[in-house]
Amino acid sequence: MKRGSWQGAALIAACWLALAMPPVRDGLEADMVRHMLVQLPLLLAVGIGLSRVLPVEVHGLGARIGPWNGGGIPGLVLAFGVVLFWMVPRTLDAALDHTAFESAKFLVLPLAGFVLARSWPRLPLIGRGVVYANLLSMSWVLGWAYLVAPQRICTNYRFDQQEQLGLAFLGVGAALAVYLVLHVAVGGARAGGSGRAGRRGQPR
Amino acid sequence: MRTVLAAALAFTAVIAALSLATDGFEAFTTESARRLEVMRSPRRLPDVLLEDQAGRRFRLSDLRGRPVVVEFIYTRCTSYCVALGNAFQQIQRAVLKDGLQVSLLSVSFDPDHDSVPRLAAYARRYGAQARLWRVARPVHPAALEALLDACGVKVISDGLGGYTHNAAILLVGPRGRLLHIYDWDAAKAALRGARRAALRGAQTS
Repeated sequence: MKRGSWQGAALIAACWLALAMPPVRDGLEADMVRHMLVQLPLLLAVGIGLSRVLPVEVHGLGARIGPWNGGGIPGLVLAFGVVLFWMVPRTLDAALDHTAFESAKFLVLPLAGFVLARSWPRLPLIGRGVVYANLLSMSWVLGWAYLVAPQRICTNYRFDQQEQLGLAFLGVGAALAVYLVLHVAVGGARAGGSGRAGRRGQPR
Repeated sequence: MRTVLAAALAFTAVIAALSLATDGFEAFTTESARRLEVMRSPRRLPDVLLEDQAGRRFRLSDLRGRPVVVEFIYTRCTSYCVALGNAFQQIQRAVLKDGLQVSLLSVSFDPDHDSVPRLAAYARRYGAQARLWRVARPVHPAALEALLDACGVKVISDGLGGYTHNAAILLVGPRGRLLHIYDWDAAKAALRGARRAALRGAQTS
């Protein structure tokens, strides 16, 4: 999809609307794994997609915000904070029990995805390493926590769904680990060391 | 410098939002939030019409004057409700032995299935004494919704034709307010709470 493609933006907006439609929404929210590991990432993806198709500069806004988002760190703090917020069991429940929370989820997560996509390229390589290491360890810690929790942590979901979510998080961690190993092995071989990643990591 | 400021702002915003959504990092689950909220400000319950194991109709307000230990159940349940039933049995024994001014109430959230004979069977299974321990169902569906809502009880399908619910022991004070929510296996703590509430009720009335 090209930058500045309004068809692309319209397509992504349509996906966002589709996610909000009752059959899709209920289907994804009926299950804890689908809610946390499919719907939430898809909402993030809507924002990431928008950041790809919307122009980088709109009325010099990018240039004005840029200096405030050095290395993309403030943006990433905000984006990961939003993701963390919606993964708290209580807010996950609240999204199902209260329309206001559900609406906020559908608005704020795409926004976080947008900020994430615009900040990530600015983050230096070492910062990415920190983020990956944290994502990896958090996936396994969360997975383990969900598997061993003696009680239900969401009033809207069953105990067996919670265990499935635990397993799913372990899987996500494993997939991330495999990806990182491949990334380092293949990327390192292709670019002959850290040079390539270092160039990519430079702020725009 | 601007980046540091922005990062600090972003971090503060995240912490503030999390703090707001979790009662200052005290309640990360809906269940702990409901318990905290009840403890901080005991809430009035809707005065619903109920029907007990003997077919007697009564209002929740008819039970005022002494503390009531309350559980929400459905009689087909084979997991938490059994444990809750055992806890209630234990509480009834203590109430009888010590002559406490405490009542017990089991409310079915499955009134369509739990007819009066089924409520009576449940009462027999746990040795509920009708004058002390009422096993009841709300007469009107709207009353059930209102009561579950006020007590923060969430009932979902267990995918096998039964229900999953946030089982707990609720303590309602002599003046009909929900005072405290205990774990489903915390019969002793609930009994202590009921004892205290009974004493306080005796002093104020």
